[in-house]
Amino acid sequence: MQRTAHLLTERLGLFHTWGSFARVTGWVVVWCLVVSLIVSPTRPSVDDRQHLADVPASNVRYVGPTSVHDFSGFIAPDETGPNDERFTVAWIGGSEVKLTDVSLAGEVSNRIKSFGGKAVQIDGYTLVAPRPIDVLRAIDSALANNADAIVISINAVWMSDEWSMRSWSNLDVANLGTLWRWPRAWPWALALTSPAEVAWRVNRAAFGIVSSQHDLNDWALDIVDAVSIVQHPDQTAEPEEIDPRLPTDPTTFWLVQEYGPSVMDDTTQRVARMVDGLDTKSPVADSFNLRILEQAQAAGVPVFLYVAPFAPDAMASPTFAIAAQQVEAYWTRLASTNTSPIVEVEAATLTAEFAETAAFNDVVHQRDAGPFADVIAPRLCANWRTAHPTWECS
Amino acid sequence: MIPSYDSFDWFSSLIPALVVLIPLLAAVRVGFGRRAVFVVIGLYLLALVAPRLALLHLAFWVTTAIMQPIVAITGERRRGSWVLWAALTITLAPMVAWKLWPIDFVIDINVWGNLVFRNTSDLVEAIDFTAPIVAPIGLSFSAFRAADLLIKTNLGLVDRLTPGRVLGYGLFPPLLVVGPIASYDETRTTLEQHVSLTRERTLLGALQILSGLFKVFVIAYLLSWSTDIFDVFDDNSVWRIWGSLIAFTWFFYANFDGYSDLAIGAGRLLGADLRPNFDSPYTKTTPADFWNSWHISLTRFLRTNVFTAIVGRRPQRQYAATVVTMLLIGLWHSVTWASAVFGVYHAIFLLGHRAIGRRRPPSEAAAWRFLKPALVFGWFGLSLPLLQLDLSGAIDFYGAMIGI
Repeated sequence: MQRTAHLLTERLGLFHTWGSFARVTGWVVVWCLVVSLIVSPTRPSVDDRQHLADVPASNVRYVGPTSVHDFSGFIAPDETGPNDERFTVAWIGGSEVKLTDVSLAGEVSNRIKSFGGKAVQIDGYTLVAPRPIDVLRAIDSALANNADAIVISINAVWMSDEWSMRSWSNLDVANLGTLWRWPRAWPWALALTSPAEVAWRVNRAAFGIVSSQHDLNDWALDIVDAVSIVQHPDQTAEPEEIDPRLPTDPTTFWLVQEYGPSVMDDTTQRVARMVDGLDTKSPVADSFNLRILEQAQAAGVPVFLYVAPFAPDAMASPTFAIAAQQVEAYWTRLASTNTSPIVEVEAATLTAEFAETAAFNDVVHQRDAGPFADVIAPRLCANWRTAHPTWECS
Repeated sequence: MIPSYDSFDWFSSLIPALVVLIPLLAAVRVGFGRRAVFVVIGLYLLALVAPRLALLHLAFWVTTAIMQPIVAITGERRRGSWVLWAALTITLAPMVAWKLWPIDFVIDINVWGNLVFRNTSDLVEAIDFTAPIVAPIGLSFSAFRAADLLIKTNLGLVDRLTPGRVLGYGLFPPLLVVGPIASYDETRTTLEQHVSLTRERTLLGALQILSGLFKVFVIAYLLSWSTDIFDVFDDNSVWRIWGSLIAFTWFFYANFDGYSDLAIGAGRLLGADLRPNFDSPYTKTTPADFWNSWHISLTRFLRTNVFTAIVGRRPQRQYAATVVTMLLIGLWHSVTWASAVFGVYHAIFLLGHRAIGRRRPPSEAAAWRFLKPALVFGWFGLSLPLLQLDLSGAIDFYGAMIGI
């Protein structure tokens, strides 16, 4: 290293003064900008799940977020300005709203084509297992993108203390922007957002080459594959045996520590435990969920929050039914703080209203979202009419 | 399966944090303040991985800070060596437990760490619940650094230190994840007083970081495919296995040396003059020269504290000392039979080469000048399967290399 430094300073005459340092650094930045112009920045990639076809004829576009290796956060749709011809609805939720080709938003879009004579456009802000902090971020993004109404699916599985801050590193950088107006949450912003994420974000804004980072990673991986001489067998390798005491996913790890490895054997029981949360009695989830409600009230547009329905089979389990009752009691208590006439909180799980026609794959994911769309569509229209009493859905 | 951690995540946060850290250190000129900055930033970066990891490191170094003055006071007395042995036992016990019972150790540190937060802070508890399940990242490096500090204290090479100095050294951010096993004296100046960020220091630090990034992101990244060979060697031809092992030998070096460069470069920008951890090991022509230039901080620690201690004033013990030292280098990677064989393999070659060298002077022929580094490279590369596989897997791998 000394030799390189000597070469640069003595032979090439660089870095002799601090001014020389600044000059070299300046040129490096300029060249990075030039390269960025040549390597045209690509649009951050959206989670693969979002690319899957939606329900035919629906008017839904998926807004984000990016896949987990991309630090872009939520991506704005192509056209977000005010549009008198369109009634834009931001639907915020998780895999219970959009999972592969099952789309609750798409089903509702086919049931409500227009509102007040305007075409209903649904923007899906969906991601897997959204944390309350992600919901807060999504509300911010929706309002910045001129949403006329907001729908928030509350997936009770991720709302208890232990799981409420589930870490999605691609979205963490957004926390600073979302939480700065809430001084009590500043420690959260600091704790969840690493300097690396901030650096990626800052550089992404300045350099196209960094904003193409995700694609460049794929390109680099292709090169690695191209130079590899290792042959991989055609058949999928046996997954490495995992010690049942040591699952590395944090949610599973804590469930196993609390209830033993057998908790993983029965999905309904496991999800019931997750909905219940461990007995830690910290007020973290409370504080974030209250913040969601506050933000909904401050949004100035109709907001409909509902607890995502559970499968009727799950509700038949006494353990699960008790957990669901607790969720209802919890959100009823929170809803009592709501004073906005255009914000509605549906604290009760709506399962009972479509139990006979419901088709679920598991506890929360529907195989056919149509029956629930029949239930929720009129509820949404009613909510939107709180702000536009003379308008009708059609 | 033990959870893994990508060391780059550490440096991808540490390097941007330098933008704040360097001006902060320029402003904080008193030693106490500087040490506080290092401790807080070190703990913060660890807590970003998982708060319980920060707690583990803090507990470890607080324990060391308590023991160091005791070792210093008793160093000159008759029972000083007993105190040192007790302190070393306490210092090395977590690392040994982790190597011997990795799964139980990982479960325990995660559960106990979280339990502490459950009873103290809602905020940290909630973050800790959703942070990854972690292995004791950096514990091996910390254990050897602490042992080095205690031994030198016992020998009177390091004075009695305040807890702040021990914590500042222990939690010095560049050293926390992938070493090197830097001695206290390498960080002493920056822990005590303001160190000017001169042009030369800035240039060397920046170049070292760029060198590290090049080794990790260009050389190691392009060769990263070679790590797959240990999983699928059964499905590959002899030449592919040999080719992959050669590539892996370069990958292994570039990756480790690259991260050492990142640590040393970041350390330099923070005012510490950390010694090099590698010195072009693949250009060396003898096993002894190779080990003097490979993971220098580890070999220096073991040479000083194990080899020299065993040999003492009896040269005839050097053979046993070499075997023990190389065995410990192997076992430092993992406590397995394969790692033990790795150590014995290298000890045999070191001793064998020394014995041959005594009987016959080294050849000066030009061909040998090129051939010897290649032989050393091959000799080292052939031992690497022992660090990647268990013993039966390694035997199968060697069999596959000759088509069996």
